[in-house]
Amino acid sequence: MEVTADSGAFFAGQVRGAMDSLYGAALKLTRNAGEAEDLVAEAVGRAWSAFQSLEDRSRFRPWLFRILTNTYIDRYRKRRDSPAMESWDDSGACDDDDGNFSLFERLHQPFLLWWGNPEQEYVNKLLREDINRAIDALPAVFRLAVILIDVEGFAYREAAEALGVPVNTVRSRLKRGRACLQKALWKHAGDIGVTKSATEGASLR
Amino acid sequence: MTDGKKNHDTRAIDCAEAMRQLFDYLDGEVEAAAHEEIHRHLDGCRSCFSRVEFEKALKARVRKAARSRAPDSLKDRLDVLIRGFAVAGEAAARDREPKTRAGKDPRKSRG
Repeated sequence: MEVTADSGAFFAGQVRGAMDSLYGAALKLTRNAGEAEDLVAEAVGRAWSAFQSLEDRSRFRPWLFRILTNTYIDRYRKRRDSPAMESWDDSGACDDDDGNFSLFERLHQPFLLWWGNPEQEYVNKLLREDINRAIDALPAVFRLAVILIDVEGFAYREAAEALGVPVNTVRSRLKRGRACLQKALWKHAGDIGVTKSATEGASLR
Repeated sequence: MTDGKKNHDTRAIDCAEAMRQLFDYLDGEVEAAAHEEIHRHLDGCRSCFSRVEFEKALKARVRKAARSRAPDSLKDRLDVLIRGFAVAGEAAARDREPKTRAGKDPRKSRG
């Protein structure tokens, strides 16, 4: 595809439309605002250079996120000594290795149920920083699956294209990512009055 | 189903089956028939219904908490980049045009 004035306008429109999502994903990858901006700018530059090779414009969003992801990996491979460098594969340490932890099951217990709806109350009391801290603590590949699907609303197929992996890999990363996230949220559940007794009860098991 | 109609294309599923598909269902990744089966199960099962409502609420909470807005500094930076691309694109397009008007192309020298 030749780059024309029309395709330039298309590119600009798409990038502007995706800017918040790109930045959000970059911020969650780098966990640093300045680096997130640099990452997005570099990825957009690379995307423009590669734009002629994009055959199906309807796949622009996953294609752009694929470039963002690859740019991130390249940047961090260059400085392996950096403390920010972390592994980029499915073996990342996660608190819940089988992906089966369920916050609901912890909260939905008979000795809590008689005084209301502890699950709903728990969700209402979760703080923004609790959630972001828990997401930031996830290994990178699981973090990105959760961000693309739960935060940015990608379909599994789109996320698979963005990550360059099969749909089933997305599904399993998402499962583990969510389980780890829920486990992390459960850990500071004690700070939220509603689950104090549940945390104590669970720790006795 | 709340309207009482019977749908013969779908089968009754149990809790284990409904929960196996829980996240695909929440993520809008199940086929219409499976969606209907799960929906019917949830209509009659308080326990699974509560689980689905919880996961839905948690997902919405995570989404709200983790979304970011690009700062103005990034917007400005990308605007500059994109304008630069446009200029480069126009220059490339001019280069591709047949050079019929002699004297307009600074690289033209032979002849």
